[in-house]
Amino acid sequence: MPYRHYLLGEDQKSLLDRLVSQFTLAEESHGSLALVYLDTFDWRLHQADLRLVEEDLCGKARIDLRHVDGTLLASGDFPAKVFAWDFPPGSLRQALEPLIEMRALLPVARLGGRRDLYAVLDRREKTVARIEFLAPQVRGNEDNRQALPPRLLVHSLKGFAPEARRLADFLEGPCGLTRSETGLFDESLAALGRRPGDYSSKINHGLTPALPAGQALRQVLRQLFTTLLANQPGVETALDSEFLHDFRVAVRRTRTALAQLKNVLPAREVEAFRKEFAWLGSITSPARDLDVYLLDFPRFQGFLPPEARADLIPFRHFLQRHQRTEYQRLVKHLQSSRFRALVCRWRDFLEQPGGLEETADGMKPIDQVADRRIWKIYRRVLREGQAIGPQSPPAELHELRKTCKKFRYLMEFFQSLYPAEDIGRLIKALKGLQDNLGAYQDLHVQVETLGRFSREMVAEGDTPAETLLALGRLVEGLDRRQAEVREEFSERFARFAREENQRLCRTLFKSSSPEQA
Amino acid sequence: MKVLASYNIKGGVGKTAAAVNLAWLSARGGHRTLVWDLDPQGAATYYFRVKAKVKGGGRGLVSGRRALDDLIKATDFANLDLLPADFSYRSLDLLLEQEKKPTRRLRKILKPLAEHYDVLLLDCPPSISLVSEAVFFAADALLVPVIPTTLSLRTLDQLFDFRARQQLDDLAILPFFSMVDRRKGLHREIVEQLPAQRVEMLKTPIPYASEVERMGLEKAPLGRFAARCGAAAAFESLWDEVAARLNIGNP
Ligand SMILES: Nc1ncnc2c1ncn2[C@@H]1O[C@H](COP(=O)(O)OP(=O)(O)OP(=O)(O)O)[C@@H](O)[C@H]1O
Ligand SMILES: [Mg+2]
Repeated sequence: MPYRHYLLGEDQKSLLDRLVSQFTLAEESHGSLALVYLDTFDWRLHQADLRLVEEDLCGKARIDLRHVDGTLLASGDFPAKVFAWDFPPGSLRQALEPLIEMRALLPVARLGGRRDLYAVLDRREKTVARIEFLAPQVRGNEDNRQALPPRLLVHSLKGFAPEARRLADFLEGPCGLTRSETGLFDESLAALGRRPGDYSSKINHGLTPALPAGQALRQVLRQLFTTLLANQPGVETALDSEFLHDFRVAVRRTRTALAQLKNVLPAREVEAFRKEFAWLGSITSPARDLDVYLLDFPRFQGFLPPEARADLIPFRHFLQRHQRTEYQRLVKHLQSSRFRALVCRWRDFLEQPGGLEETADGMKPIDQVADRRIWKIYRRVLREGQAIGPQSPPAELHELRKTCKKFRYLMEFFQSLYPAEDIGRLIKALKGLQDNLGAYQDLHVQVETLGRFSREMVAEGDTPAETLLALGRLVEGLDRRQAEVREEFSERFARFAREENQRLCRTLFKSSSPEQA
Repeated sequence: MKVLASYNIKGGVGKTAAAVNLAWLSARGGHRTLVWDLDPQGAATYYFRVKAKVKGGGRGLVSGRRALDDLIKATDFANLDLLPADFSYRSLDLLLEQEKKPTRRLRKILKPLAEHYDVLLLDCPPSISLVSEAVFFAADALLVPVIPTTLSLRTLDQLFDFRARQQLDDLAILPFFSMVDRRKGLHREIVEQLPAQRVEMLKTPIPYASEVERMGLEKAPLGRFAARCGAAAAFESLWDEVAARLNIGNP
């Protein structure tokens, strides 16, 4: 980012004249400004204090990844790509890959307008600083343009700090300019009515312990609803896999909230909505499953010896074909009157649920209700987990996995009611167990589904024998891995259920629920 | 970070011309690139229009009392920085000698730079000394400009022998022809025949060209003022070869 940033009242010409009287300036470029700030939908670069900017310099594209303090981390002389794996191998890709993972890079703001760039030279004719006059216009994703005030940017160069300071002193002293503390990025977003970080899939509600449970639950549900709607356009345009993922998580969390806090909202309505959200869960499953297989594809290839990896490619084409069909089907559902009706009715209901006084728990303080529910589900986790031995069938692990998810969601919904460090520790401990159960369940399902897929591929015809063979080897590999993961379960569970965590759960959730004592 | 050193025991063979132009190309290709001008004469520093002076001099650098990063200057080009020359580099040998493991010293000093740079180019003075030994230990590859004469080929052989004796097995030696004058029969002959016999040899010869001489007047790498000339094109294909040999990712 620039060393200094000034908004200009005075016109550019007279300011230039003043500068020329004190400094040697050389024109570097004149013309139009064309830059695009990019980030993922969930602002992963912004969260990591990074800026990715694509710039058009006289018809040549250039992309820079910088720290917000301006340090250049990586760059390339090509236009931005959508996914990290689309970038050519190199430092830019290396920097992006672990951060953005499977998320698409989307334009956050586009800037047009005029730009004049000058180099400030010393007596060796070395550039020691740069001055940039900008008359920017910001464009959002729709075609609305907005002019931002003209400005002057001073860019310092490494090793030439005193020169930049002298320039700034002159601009702030004799020229009377005042520094602007906000940057172009923030101003552009503000002009578009956005705030960096305005979407996150994480949940954390600032709830107060005495808030009536009915109100608290509505607050939780409203935020989940916002998340769901925020992801809908990305699902419909299939920008990347995570829109559907976050959409589904919002649905699942909503279902958990409705099921676990039964006596808080009016029962009849809740019953009807639970059915509709269950429907949303089921219509989104097939598309998500295919997303997961495609995301896992490189891992699948890793199960095979290098020479057999290419044999799996037709399988990827199969998955891609089916993914497209499933997405089309899903989009139809999202445009159906059933979905639209759900959205309207759910919105109305969250506005005015009515009848909270008549429910058993609606008016009780949320901390009591949360304690009781979390304690109950926690004990179920313990019970189910302790019952699992080396011979227990997969269904029991699956059941425990679902219970853990509920436990997790409840802790997340109500985390603001508990000391952050304690609840954070518990969530982390639970995550260790969930990872194991999740991996096991996924492998279990994959082993079964891959069998079905290969039968379907045969039915669709044209599948090379090598591909079917490779799929068979893959299933063997996954099967072995599944056994390993199953082995690890007891140790993972023991670690979660250790005395220290049990004690923590008792203190956090049990103390204020006398009826459970 | 890949460390490349432009090195030849002989003077005036095109080491600095190569270091400056290849660094410029590396930076243009998106690699964060640093040139360290180790030659007290400061030719590379001059081409980048920077004052040949380093706070604390060679002593501060070698002893580790000065953080390298504070002494680095941005050049006029994106991605390309310079650690300037200093008159005191004349006595770099003596300064190194005072350290515990003089030949390993440079490698150690360079280590922290890996966080900020993808490519480091050392422009070396013409000599064989403790400094050059330290460079051999620190570098991944030596870029060796060779003027196509029988004598310079002998010096090249000595360099390979030296590497073998010192067991510097990880050090790549990448010679290339420099200042090639096609009008001279001997030049033509050597350039056409030698690479076939030597696998390490880079394939692109750098022609003798007035544009390279003009770098001194222009005080700039070729890319700045004569990007389309034959010599610039030769450096470009030489850089592609170097990047491919050393597996420098090509964004
Ligand atoms: N390909 C070329 N064509 C024409 N002139 C060249 C070429 N390469 C280098 N020169 C000129 O030859 C002289 C020596 O080149 P350069 O400084 O690159 O060599 P060097 O090996 O670094 O020398 P030193 O040993 O003095 O450091 C310079 O004046 C330079 O302009
Ligand atoms: Mg030189």
